[in-house]
Amino acid sequence: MNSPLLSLTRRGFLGNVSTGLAGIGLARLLRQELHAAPSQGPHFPAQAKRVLQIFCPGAASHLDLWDYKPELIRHHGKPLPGEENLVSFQGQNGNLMESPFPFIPRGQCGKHLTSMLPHLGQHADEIAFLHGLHSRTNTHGPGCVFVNTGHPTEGFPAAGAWVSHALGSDNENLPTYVAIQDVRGEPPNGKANWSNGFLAARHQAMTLAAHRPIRNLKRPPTVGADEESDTRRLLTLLNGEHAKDRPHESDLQARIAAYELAARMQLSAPEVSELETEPSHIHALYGTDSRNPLLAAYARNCLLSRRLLERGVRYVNLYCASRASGVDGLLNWDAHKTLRADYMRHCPIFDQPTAALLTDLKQRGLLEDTLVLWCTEFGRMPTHQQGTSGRDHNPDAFTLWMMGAGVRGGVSYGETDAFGRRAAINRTTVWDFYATVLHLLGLDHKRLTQYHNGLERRLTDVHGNVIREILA
Amino acid sequence: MRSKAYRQSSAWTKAGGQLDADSRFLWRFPPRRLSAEEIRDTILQLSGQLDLAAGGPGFRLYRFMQDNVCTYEPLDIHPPDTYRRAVYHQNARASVVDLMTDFDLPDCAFSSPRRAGTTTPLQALTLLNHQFTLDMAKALAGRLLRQTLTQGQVEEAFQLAFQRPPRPMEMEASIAMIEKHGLEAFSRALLNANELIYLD
Repeated sequence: MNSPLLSLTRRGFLGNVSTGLAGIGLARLLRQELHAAPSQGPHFPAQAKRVLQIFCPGAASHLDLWDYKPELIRHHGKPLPGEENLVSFQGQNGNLMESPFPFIPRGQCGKHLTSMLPHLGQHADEIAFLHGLHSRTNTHGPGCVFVNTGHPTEGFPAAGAWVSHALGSDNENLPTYVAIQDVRGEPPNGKANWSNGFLAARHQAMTLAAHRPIRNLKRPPTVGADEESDTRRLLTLLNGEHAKDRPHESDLQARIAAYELAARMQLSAPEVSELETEPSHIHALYGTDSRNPLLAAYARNCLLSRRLLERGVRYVNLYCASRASGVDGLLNWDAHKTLRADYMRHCPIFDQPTAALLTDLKQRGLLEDTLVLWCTEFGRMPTHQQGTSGRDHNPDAFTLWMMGAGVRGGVSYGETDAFGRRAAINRTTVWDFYATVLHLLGLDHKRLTQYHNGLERRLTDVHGNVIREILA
Repeated sequence: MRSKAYRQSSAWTKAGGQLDADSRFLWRFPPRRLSAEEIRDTILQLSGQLDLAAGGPGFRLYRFMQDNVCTYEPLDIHPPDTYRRAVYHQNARASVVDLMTDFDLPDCAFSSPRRAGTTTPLQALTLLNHQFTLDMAKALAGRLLRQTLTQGQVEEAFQLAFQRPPRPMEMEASIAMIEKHGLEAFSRALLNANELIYLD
């Protein structure tokens, strides 16, 4: 107990490297300090080691994908009782509208899912559906950051940043947290969805996609390999001379180590994106060869996700669709006017590649310790928008789901009312959702905090209860 | 600024270090890395490109797009009309800007009582590979051409960047670099040196 090591804080230790402890594995220590060190570590044994979060921006309709409402079919064309003159986000609503697609029972559990997701339905027995979600906002931008950060305003750390902060990296040559945006562009509110907020900058997601390499990763084309290595050698010499006179400044060593790490990332990151090394049956499974270019692009991002998770990336935030467009329902799931046509576009893009990714994770044993989340920002109205065959925003009811490490499959928790207008039974918040996610990662959501502007901030704000009913 | 505490050097002493390694109680000037804005201004100044004009409309290091929602796409090339002090940058919520965000520029959605000073490989990648660095390296190389002899170029570069003459070993390595790869490659290395962005 009298060991000087034990009596020092980590920060103090790094500040004191001069006192003789410095020599021993300093480079390695600093490297961990930089990149791989868990800031807090798990609070208790974890079920999940890593997270895949699939996000369908635009408010993907619970009523047309996951939440089967026979009463809605029966009352199709009749007014919504008690809300006959409902005015919502875009204006006046018409009468109740059944889904344009039939729901069919899937798997052993017999869960009714839309017939538009035939591939994904194969995983019905592994999924825990949460039908009782409701949101604080009916607007896409705030909605997306709410579901990603637990707060409807910008500036808060995304769930992936919190997990990076809490658990650090499993592979120091790759980023800890990766956001893969859709080929069509960023989701509503863009980079705020994968921000580090007030956590350290290293916890922000690195953006990467099959169609888009990591920014600034590659040596500029005008710089030859020989010049690059000589530049690094000169830099090492300059930094070494500078640090020699300042042996007590650990920041200087840390920056030297960061340049070494950057060089290793330049080698390992492109390898992850080399999808052509995958066998043809894997490409066929995902659909990367599809004639639908949007399906093929999303499929490549799904395959990239698996390769990242496999190599120890802690948190992958994968997007299927992008921002809200002036043309409704074109770029994302925001089907205000022509829901049938819009979802006939979006469902096939999402279905096969996502199902293939889940199948592939399972067959590699990765689902044992990978938690899969499916998210969107809110739900849609059971009525049609007046004068259209689409649905308006509905913050009062939507569905999210999870599967994989520590999650019971083939179950549904929470219910909406008869028409899916409002969450009714076991109403669930985004904070409950993340309390559960963190629990599966071995973290108590109340203890994962960061002091900022006078408050101990949390991913779950001042709310959240672990949904024990869906734990395996 | 006239106080004795403020005017201390950053020199380290064993006694002070053992009592207060982080210099919390200001027994010496706590050395620090420059902030994001300071780093960009420093690079522009060193390269002789900093436009010191005060006032007027600000500049953006992102492309602003609006199609129902706002999207901010960071620029791959920073044109010369952005070579102004970073205080004139129009920071936007939810935007990520090369160099600035990497070096802990906070998201302006919130007030930020204290700047973080992290060290990450992303910073290294940006400062090595972004076109801004290459443009500034080129400009610095042009500035060094005032000297005709390689040795004079190295001396001038060290004076401009570090306010000191090069040591013999640094001189030797720098001359070798310039002779093999030219002044731009040498300048790119200088822009990435620790000494440029650490204040002590």
